[in-house]
Amino acid sequence: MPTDHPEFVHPSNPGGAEQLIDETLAAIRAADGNVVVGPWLGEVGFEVLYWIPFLHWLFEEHGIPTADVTVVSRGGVAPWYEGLAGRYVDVFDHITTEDFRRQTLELWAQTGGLQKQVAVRSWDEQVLDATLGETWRDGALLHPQLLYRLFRNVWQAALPVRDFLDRAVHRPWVEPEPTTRLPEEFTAVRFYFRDSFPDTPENRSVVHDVVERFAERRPVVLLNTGVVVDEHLDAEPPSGERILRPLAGIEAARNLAAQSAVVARATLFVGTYGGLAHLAPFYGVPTLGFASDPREINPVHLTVARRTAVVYDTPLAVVTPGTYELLEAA
Amino acid sequence: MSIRQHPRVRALARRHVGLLLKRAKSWANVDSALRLLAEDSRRSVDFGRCADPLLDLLYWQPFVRWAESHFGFAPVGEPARVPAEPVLALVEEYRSGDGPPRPLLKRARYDRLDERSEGGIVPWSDEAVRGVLSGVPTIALLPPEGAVEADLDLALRVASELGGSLPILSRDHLTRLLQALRGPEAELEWTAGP
Repeated sequence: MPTDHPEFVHPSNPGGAEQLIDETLAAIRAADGNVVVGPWLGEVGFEVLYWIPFLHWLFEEHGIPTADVTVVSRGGVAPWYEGLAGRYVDVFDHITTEDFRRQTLELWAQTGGLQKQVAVRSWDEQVLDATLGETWRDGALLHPQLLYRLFRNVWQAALPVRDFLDRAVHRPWVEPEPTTRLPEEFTAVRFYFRDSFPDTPENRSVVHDVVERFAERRPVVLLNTGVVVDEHLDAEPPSGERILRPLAGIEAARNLAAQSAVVARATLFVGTYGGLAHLAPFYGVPTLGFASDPREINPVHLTVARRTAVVYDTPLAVVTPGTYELLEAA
Repeated sequence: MSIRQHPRVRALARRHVGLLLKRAKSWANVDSALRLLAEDSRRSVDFGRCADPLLDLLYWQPFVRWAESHFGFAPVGEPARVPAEPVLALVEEYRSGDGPPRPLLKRARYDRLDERSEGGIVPWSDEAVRGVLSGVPTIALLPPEGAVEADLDLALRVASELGGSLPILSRDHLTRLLQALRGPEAELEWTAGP
């Protein structure tokens, strides 16, 4: 994601964060605590690494009751928002994945590749209308733009990372109920291609070799669901008796909850750095996140991911194929 | 022309550049002092040394590389001395967690080291940073008492910007990761290692 996108870059305004938060709190009070959080339409990584810990901080620090809070997100992630909302509404219960993907890609094209919800756009409003009807307009809207407006200067290195960390609270994560039978011990695997792990013959070979190596040690449970809602393409792992695909074909409205349930019960999570590699440490699952070109990763995310994993007392290693081989040889 | 731009005033300031650096309260002050030195084609610049090898590799040497390429000091002539202390004092604001990385990053150039490092699993130290700068696979082992978080953040940033990775793990977390990778026996294999 280009965090140097013009709409993302913003001068640091002293006291600006406090002012934004004060405005948000005033809106919540004016709505008598009737709050809509979302709609979250973006990547898993930002949602779990930044948005949810920030919401915990905001609600706890300012004593916001959560009974009248409605969260709108996608993929059945209600368990992620445990303690933050009285109601969860799933986008995919109201919008097809095809429409979602088409609208998302169109929006990215219109905004010059900006994937972040830095403003409330008509697509956000369409999603809210489709999921909640007109009623969302009666309450306060806690839109993801708040996150991006508050912390974009942290991601740009213009503010210390403390500006985010001081506004994040980490609570235990509830394990979603599994939708499928799982082995006693297994490695959860999810590889997909992105800029930091592009679709190259070398990376295809890494995926193949890593999955085969782990399958020799214990069963591998692939998290590939077949649900495609953004530009990321799954890397195709090898087949094998000890390589299981229990989530293939799962309905979109439950796909992230189902993946979370598998991750939470894994002995180890292995996959592309980003997304679920951020999630696994919240469940105390040791995590290996692969990046063949770490220059494509905003280093602030590496910092926050490392520090967050420490909070959950869980090992997280972001590795290149070379560093991974060093671990294997240790 | 403002009085500060007058050649005689600048010549006078140049004679006291050591004092200007010593009193530097901001990166802009340091920039101004170095700019004064760069205007003098008859004097080269002799950058001092940083006694701490970790700070030297992470902060001081990258600053020196940036300053030399940015200001283009005269290659010969009686050298003017630029000590490390005023720069390291400014670095401390970042290291304390209060300062943003950007001013520091604007004034640092991280290049691959010519010397070859062994890399491997090493204690968090200049050795780990040397591994990163050499481009060899390196994993840093945190001491039980921890480390300055901002140093770790910067090392992660440098590693990724050079196209590498630097897992930073406590001994306990590395052991648990190896066990998750290979099974409970991994701890014995690892602790028996070098």
